[in-house]
Amino acid sequence: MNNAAMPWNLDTSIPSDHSQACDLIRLTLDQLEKGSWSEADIFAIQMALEESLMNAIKHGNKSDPAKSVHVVIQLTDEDFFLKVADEGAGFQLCDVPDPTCDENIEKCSGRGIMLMRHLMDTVEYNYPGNSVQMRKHRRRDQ
Amino acid sequence: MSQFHCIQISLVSDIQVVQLVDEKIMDPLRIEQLGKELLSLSDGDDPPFLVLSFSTVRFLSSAAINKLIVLERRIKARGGKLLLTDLRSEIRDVFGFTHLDSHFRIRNDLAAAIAELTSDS
Repeated sequence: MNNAAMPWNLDTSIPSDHSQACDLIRLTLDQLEKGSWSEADIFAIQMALEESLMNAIKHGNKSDPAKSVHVVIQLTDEDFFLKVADEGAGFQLCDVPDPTCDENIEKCSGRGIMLMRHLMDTVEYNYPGNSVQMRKHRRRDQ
Repeated sequence: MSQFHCIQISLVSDIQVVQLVDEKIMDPLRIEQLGKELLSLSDGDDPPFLVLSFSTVRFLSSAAINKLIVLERRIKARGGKLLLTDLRSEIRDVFGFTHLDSHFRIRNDLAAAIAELTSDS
């Protein structure tokens, strides 16, 4: 049974604080569970949400509590859309080390971006790279 | 009282089985603590032979995976062996498409991991 009030939209800014990011993730997961999204889809969205928020806080805003992260979520019965923007200078994807290379295996950067690109249907960065938006279409065949 | 907060240790056929406690491993402070607790297991005099069970884990972040990579490297450098067991399919897929399944030894269940380490150690 679908108890969620769909569509569910969120447009908010949070400080560069991990606990507030975790609160936002829990709020989103609650909506997905109410909407009876599959375990696999929820896992993928949680991973993408967690990685994008932590990247924005840690790498974008350098954990500066004076800087905020802007988050837009649009959830319908069929689609999940996420946009995360930070106040940092941005980055270029080509500068991110390949986490599958042995010399990069212990580096903290790169793996999160790779995970998002695998788990979501689309992932797009703006120029200069301080905003990412992604989308996942609900899988019904499970 | 145990000095561990993020893991539980048991002995099965003289092999250390490390159970991850948290269902969701995503809090940065908790991940740091987990990393310290796991690395402490590789500090003994003998080469460490460990089974790390994910049976309770529903989600882990890439930051948590980095702690596992450091642990695996430490154990390998000391001549020991680390086996991962009971990963749910989504987590196992993460190890697959990040190519980490070639760095970690992943077994389906605890019995298979214990049997392998018992013959090795």
